[in-house]
Amino acid sequence: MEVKIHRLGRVEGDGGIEIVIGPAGIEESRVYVYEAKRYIEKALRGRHYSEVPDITSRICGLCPTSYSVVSSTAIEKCLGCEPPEHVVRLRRAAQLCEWVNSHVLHVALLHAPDLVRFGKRDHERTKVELAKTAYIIRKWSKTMSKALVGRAIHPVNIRVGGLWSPPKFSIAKALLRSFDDVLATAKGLMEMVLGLERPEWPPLREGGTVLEESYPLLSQEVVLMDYSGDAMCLYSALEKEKPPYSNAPRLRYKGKAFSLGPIPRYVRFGHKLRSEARDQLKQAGFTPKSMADSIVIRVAELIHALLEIRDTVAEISEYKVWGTECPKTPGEKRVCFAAIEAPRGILYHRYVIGPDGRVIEAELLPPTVANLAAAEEDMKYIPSELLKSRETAEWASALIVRNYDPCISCATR
Amino acid sequence: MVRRLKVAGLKLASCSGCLATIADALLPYILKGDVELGCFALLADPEMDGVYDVGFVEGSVATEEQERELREFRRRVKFLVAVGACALFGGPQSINPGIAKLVEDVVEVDYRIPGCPIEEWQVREVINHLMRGTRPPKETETLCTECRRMNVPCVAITKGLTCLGPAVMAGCSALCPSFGRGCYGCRGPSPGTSIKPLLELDPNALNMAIVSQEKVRRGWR
Repeated sequence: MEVKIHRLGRVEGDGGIEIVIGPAGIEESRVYVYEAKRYIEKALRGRHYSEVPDITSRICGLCPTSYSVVSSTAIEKCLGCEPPEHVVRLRRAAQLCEWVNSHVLHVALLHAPDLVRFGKRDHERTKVELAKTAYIIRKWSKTMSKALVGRAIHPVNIRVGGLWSPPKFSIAKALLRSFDDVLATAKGLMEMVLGLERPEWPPLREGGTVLEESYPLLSQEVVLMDYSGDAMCLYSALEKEKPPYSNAPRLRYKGKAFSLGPIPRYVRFGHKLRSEARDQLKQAGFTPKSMADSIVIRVAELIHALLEIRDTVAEISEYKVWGTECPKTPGEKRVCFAAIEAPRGILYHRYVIGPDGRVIEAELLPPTVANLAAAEEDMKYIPSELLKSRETAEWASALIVRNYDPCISCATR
Repeated sequence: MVRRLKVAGLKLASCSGCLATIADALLPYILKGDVELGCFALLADPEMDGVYDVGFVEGSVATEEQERELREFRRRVKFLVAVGACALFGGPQSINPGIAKLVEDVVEVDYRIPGCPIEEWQVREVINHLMRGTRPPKETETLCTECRRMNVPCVAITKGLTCLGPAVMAGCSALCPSFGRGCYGCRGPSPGTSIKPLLELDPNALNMAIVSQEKVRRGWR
């Protein structure tokens, strides 16, 4: 039997799924990507590096801050003009606002509807509860993004060298007054998600994260399976292939598909999450068993992010300096790179910048190019009883793709 | 008295930022029962299987398949709204020549919402008008008007920065100037204005626009 979902809903971008079921189970599995290529890396060539963060953010409407921050960080590091610590911290807070924005949208509106069905609970009421939760949390975190970096989608206050202007402190601090309500709503979401019956397949897949002291967020170092170290070194060794049925490439390491995002972040560094973000997990005796458990980890990361944002905004006060000046013409060719934990996993950027400050080459590798390969391989773990009917097979294969919260616009760019 | 609306969303070559904004703007209407989502891939079922009161389309047109889809969408939608810099001006992909057709190059458009991304208030304006049976008015205000109204000092006059404000559509709450930088035109040209005088003063002005000069000039004749 062939099961085909021509166009998959509740994911970002344009894709579909095809699985071929034989007597022994899944024989073939493909995640189609119809999304049209935009050739943004090519569009960057010839532009001055200072324009890069505003262009790369346009690749994704769900993780634009990740793009702006990693572009700026990569270029600052190779030009030697890194901003002061309080600016770095503030940009990290803006990045964490994006985790909140993106995670709550995915958890409550895109992923949970699959599991509500799985658990056969009171569907409609649960879905309305989830939508209300998403609305409350997204409203808060989007307003916080607005105060810190201008707007949540395509921020305007991030530049190479730091920020253009101080954040709007009066708005940011006023938002802290409603923080406790938002945190309580997030904890309510955690209760709901822990109460969903999550399938025990597909098994946890090995993966990678950015490597730093704290819960992973932004660095030039990464860790993946047996590799730990320089991100540029690893990414030049990854295998990229573009299957004929997909406008997005697939990324593998030593022939193996790997996962990026909440699962590997939590499996490796869950102990670095704020304890308040782990409390409910401990009480529930949670340990991740399958990729579907990513829904729980996303909520834990969301709570962790909210707490970090609160502390940053509460502790940072007026500073005179909100950035450094970077040399407009570096005078020699420079190779710049950095890796950030976008909500869906490592987003790696590498730029070659000419002596005149213009981009010669840009390579932007978003997490979904790795996760699409992983999702295709995960299909073989669908239990055989679910493959007997078209309806359950469609549901299971769609869930496997949604476990990764794919961002197809990023993967195609 | 209000009408319930069935709303659809179509994504072409783009980033989903406008559709995500539309989703945020519509959520309260959906919870209240005033709006029902039809085909809307980001949040619901992506298949086109009905007729819709309002259809939002995001993105530029890159392939024949997308052209076909857009025509099909137009047939099913009573009021077609083209949203965002990609649909209206080609978006950043139009920096590369020849790959980004505009939505209005393929189908007739009933209303345009500029922005990169669009703002939630613009979506609410369209929905509120259509719920009452009226049409949303055409926006023409420039960013300069918005800066004056919001008491944001002119960054061109006080700081000497390049700013496209006099020729760009308002509606973003004067975002860039309020963060101390010049407008780089992500909302696109305001009808009736001209970019020429700005370019005579500062020949580099248009270079900062994130869409192709050719596409922007079309609206800036």
